[in-house]
Amino acid sequence: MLPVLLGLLAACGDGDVEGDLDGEVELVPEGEDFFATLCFPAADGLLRCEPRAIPAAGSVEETAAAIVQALIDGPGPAPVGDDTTEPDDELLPVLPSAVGLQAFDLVNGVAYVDLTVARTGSALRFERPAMGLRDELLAVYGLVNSLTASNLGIERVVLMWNGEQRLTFAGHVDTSRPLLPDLDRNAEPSADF
Amino acid sequence: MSLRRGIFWCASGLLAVALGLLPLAPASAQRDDEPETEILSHEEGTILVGRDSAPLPWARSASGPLVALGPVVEVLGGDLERGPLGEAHTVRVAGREVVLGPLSRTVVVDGEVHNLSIRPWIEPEPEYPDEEEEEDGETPDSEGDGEEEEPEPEEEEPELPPEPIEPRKLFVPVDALALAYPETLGYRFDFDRRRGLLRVDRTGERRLDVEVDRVHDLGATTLVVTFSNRPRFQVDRYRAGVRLRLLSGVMEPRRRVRLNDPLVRWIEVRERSVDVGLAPLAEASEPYLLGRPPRVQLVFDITRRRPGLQPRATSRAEEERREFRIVLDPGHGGTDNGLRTSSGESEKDLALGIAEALRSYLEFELGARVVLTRSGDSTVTLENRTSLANQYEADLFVSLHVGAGGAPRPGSAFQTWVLDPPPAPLEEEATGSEEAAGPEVAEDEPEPAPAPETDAFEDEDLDDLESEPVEEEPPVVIPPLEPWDRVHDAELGRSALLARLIQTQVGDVLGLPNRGFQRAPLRVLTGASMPAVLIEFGYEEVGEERIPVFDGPRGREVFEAIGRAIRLFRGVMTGAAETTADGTRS
Repeated sequence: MLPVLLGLLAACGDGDVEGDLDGEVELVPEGEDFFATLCFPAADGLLRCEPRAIPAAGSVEETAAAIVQALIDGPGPAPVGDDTTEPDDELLPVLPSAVGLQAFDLVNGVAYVDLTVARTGSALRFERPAMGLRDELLAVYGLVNSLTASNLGIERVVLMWNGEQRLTFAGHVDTSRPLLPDLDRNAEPSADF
Repeated sequence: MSLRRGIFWCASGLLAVALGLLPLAPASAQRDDEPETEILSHEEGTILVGRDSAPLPWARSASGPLVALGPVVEVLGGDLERGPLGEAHTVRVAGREVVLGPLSRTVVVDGEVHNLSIRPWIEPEPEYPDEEEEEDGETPDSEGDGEEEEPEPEEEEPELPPEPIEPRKLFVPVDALALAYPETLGYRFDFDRRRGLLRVDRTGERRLDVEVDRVHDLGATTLVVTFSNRPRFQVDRYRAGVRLRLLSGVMEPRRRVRLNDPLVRWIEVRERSVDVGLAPLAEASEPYLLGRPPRVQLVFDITRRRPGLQPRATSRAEEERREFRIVLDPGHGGTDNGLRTSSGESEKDLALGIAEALRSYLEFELGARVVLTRSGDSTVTLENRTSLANQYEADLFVSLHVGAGGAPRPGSAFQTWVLDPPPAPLEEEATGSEEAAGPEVAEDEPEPAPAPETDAFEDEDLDDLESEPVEEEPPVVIPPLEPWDRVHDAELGRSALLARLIQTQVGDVLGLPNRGFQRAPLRVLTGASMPAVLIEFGYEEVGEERIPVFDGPRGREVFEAIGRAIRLFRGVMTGAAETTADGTRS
């Protein structure tokens, strides 16, 4: 239990990453673990947010980009500090495996996440993955809730495809504006968490 | 009641004589000996004809089940005529005439007497105050209170106009139905009293080959429906079209044809009906028969109504009578395929099929005028979809989508969504709006577009950003909300009610554990100036199979449930019905 609590505290910002009033963020030294909060879709249609260790990078942008990449890679082993539980098989990757992070930028609290899809021979230039509404909603808020919860000074997230902001993420969910987190999409944390 | 019985039997006797019917004596004798059928309980059941179903009230009696005659005639076709006292009922089907009533087990079928297994039963008359008794009752009072010459104020109240009276339902045994709809016409009845299900089997019927031809000339369209055999049919007229309903036989080949005609939008040959969808302001003449049996042609002349005959609605009452307009939005389309389901079909095709089927249902069963945002495989921007609904002054906007059909999850069978609007703009957003030069948002058209001249996210620029001091970063201005983003705000409450009704009604059909609707920032609903919902159809698990809830008999049930929800919603909006939060009508 103690390691879990330590991990939670770290993810809540009392540990390695600190933000001041001006929104500047002090990162952990490069090479050490940064504890991010990653929100993965679960089978019940909600997001499960858990602390995960990510190798700290040299900048906030690179660290945030690593978070996005971790979300794309999908749920890994058990949450940080919890050696007793098996990985949750019901957790799903935030995005299809064909999606990659093309670029990331962070400007005055607004994160610009530029995604792309591995070319599949289609002539369409702005190809996006085809997703059902529920999966799309979970993908959008998996990204937004994770980035804004990881204490990197990110308040809003702009989601883009191939360098362009689109009206919708994959045909349904409005991404025409910078998005605020929606904590109603998160499942209640378990008692252990 | 005895006086009425006398009148009824007098009328029945005259009818029998007119028909050359002699053996009335047994019926008369039976009437005297037959006790009235004792009803134990009233139930709600279903009549199932092929893939079509409809509600069917029925009653348990000590002698067996009785089903309501009216709904059966409504579903199977034919005319139902009630006698002047509301007790004698005459059913006319395909030239046959069946007379029956609640006073006897005797039935007269084309002048021939038959006996039923159970005496029919009719709902009792509603109790109305007897005017004669009231008048008689007032006399002694007025005499006794001789000092009061003025009548009571209550008595001076003007008489209210009589309320329309629902005809009393006649409940008959299933063998009565078999007399009205005999096997010779291809009907077989089977009643499952455990499930309250009246199954009408019409297999083995004669098959009619049907051809449909159309000619448009001189501003009118002539529609010719050619049958390989002379059909028995009736014509039902709806606001949106005409239904030629077959009373016996089944039609082949079934198909739906979309027409490029100014007066006729489409024709659908179904198993037992030919539906003709008319364009706005089009009307069909009475059909007439041509040709020589057995091959006959049924001809409709379709013309445009003169606008002068349709005064624009002005009063509230007229407004309430205005046609109910629904815009159905088949999701995706054109180069936007939507997702590909587990069975390999494109969402855009499935959504269009759902929209067309739902349109037929809503037009014919609800009398609504339904427009689709796309009628083929074409690309339509999200804004244009709601713009069409706004321009059309639609009463409802319903966007139709299909889920992936993967592993079952909550809401994967059927889910109704409403708009979760963007949060109210912050002050700094509002102030920065005029000079906002936020990133240009690309139209959501999947058509390829030239990439903007941007290289802001190339790797070398990331490096540049890292090296730049924070103070020198360009200011970020959140683009303000456009008026378009706020159009639907005023409709959010009504949209939520519609979503709740749909989810509840369909949830009842599918047995969904989750009856709640969901909210999401759905771009396609933004900008709708009327109640708007998005429906995502999915699949339900039946054993190890995944069955789509938008196809076949299940789809029909789901469409009916959506229709019921819309009907309830409309009733609530016009104040004609009171609906509780869970969608039931009180």
